[in-house]
Amino acid sequence: MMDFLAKALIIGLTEQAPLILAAIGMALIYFLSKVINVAFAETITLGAYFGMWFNTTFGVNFYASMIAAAILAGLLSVATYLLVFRPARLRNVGMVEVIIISLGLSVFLRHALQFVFGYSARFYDVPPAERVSVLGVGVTTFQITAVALVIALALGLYFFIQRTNYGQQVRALASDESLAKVSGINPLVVTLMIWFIAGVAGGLAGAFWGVAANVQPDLGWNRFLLILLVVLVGGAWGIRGVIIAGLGTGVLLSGLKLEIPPLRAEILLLVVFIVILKLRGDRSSETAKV
Amino acid sequence: MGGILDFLFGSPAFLIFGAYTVVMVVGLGLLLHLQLGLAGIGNFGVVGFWGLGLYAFGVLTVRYDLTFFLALLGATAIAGAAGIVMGWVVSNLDVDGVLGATLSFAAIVFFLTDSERDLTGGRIGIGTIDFPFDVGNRTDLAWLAILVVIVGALMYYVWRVHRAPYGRLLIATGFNEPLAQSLRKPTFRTKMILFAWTSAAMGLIGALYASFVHFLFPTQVTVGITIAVIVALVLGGQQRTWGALVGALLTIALFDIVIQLYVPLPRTVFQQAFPVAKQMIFGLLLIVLLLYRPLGILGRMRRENYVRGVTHE
Repeated sequence: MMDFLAKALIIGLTEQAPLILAAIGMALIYFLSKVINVAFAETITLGAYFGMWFNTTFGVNFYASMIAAAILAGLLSVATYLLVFRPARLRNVGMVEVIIISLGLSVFLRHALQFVFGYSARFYDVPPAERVSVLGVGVTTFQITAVALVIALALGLYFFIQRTNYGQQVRALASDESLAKVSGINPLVVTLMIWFIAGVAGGLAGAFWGVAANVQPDLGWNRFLLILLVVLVGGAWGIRGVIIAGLGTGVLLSGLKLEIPPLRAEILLLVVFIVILKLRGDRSSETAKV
Repeated sequence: MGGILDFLFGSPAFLIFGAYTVVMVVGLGLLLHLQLGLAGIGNFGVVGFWGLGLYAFGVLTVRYDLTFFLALLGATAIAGAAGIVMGWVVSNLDVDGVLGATLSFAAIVFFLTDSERDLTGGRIGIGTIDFPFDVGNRTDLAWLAILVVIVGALMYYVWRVHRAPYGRLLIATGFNEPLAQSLRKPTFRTKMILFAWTSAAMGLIGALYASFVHFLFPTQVTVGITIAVIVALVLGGQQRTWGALVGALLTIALFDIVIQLYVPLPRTVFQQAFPVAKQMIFGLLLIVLLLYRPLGILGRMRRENYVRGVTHE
């Protein structure tokens, strides 16, 4: 039993570390801008493509290309905010409509990138990953890096948001925009910063997923549903909740996959999420009660 | 007259397939119009209910040898049962919760088509599903006619709903639920019942598609259907009876029929670049429309009010 749990924990953590990374990024946007950004899936996908592009075209190694992927994905995220989500906000577009807009952006980017990077799957040019054994589970060095990065990013963000002056501005803006403006906070600067950090997290997640298998247009979209569910379920308890929900998802999924066929494990996981969403209920009504 | 007959009876199978897709998207769009445009339920899992009907029909006819009408009834009932459960789930959720739950449902249906191979045949697919009747080489045209009748009836129903107390109840629920509740309208029950029967209808449209395509594969139940329906509805006008029809004509009919048949592009373009560019344009349309013309092409037209029949009283 202990052995099973340890195995599930290690597989869950190492395989789903990028999921936690991506969920943190999407949750930052969700907390600050109150936007469910479906096109965050393509921030992830393009992060994987940017990394692959630097890695194969300029011949830099994976870790250096990761930095390029992070920065370019961050800039992409900022660009989507300025070109799409900010105009939507200024026009007071409704909540469902913003989701449909982001779905449109997602579809647009997912297909537009194929004219730039080609239709078929691309690969990182890296030496085969070294495998080390952790408690009898084979783990690649890339996966260990991803786990370390998740821990570093989570701690860094926690420190940034809870302890620094900028973080205080972010929290102020998220809870009361007009009050934050009166206090001299520039909402645009803070918002752009958060969308950039979110894009960096998404891009890094994409790079790790890309190097573990291949880079193809559906990379982010195929993983988007789990990221969304982790953000929705964990989001009520802040970044901490997102990390715990992401970790829980990874462990539950890998534990289930050790016992039942993988597709049935995914189905069961989604059923669990639907039940949790139902139990969570309508959170928007809390504010409407005022 | 001869021209029309030629057009109908001498038409290639390709044209009928395109026309069938258009009418099907109009049907699904009308149902989404009731859910999203009137009752305000953001259902992003249209393909799930349609696909459940499609696959349930296939499994019931091929694996259990049910007759056509029993299988059709069974498939509709299964989609309706899923609609009751999901309707109960989403009717008191916020927008984000509805998105998560309906997307999850669509993913579950997609995974089931591959995970339950004994029933669905997995990626190899399931078939052959025949038409329940045979009128020679134009049976598919007759099938299209049946769908046109069903979708036409649905359209008439939606047209009536816009002018009936039931429509006003749906609009009140969608636009200001607390207000509707304060007037003692049972909004939860209203949304749940609406979601249940519209899901059953989506399943029925899916079941009819099974006979039309003869073979079912998991790749048929992917997000493309949902996006086609949303794009058509948003383009035409999500709050209008005619919205789905106008939108489907300008998207699916334009791209899948007019351009494919009458614009001379190299075959290789149609195989790869064209479908990708089409999706790109669909995505761009959603962004531009909802930013600059959120009520679609039809918009509000002459009447300022959403509610018909009240302004002149």
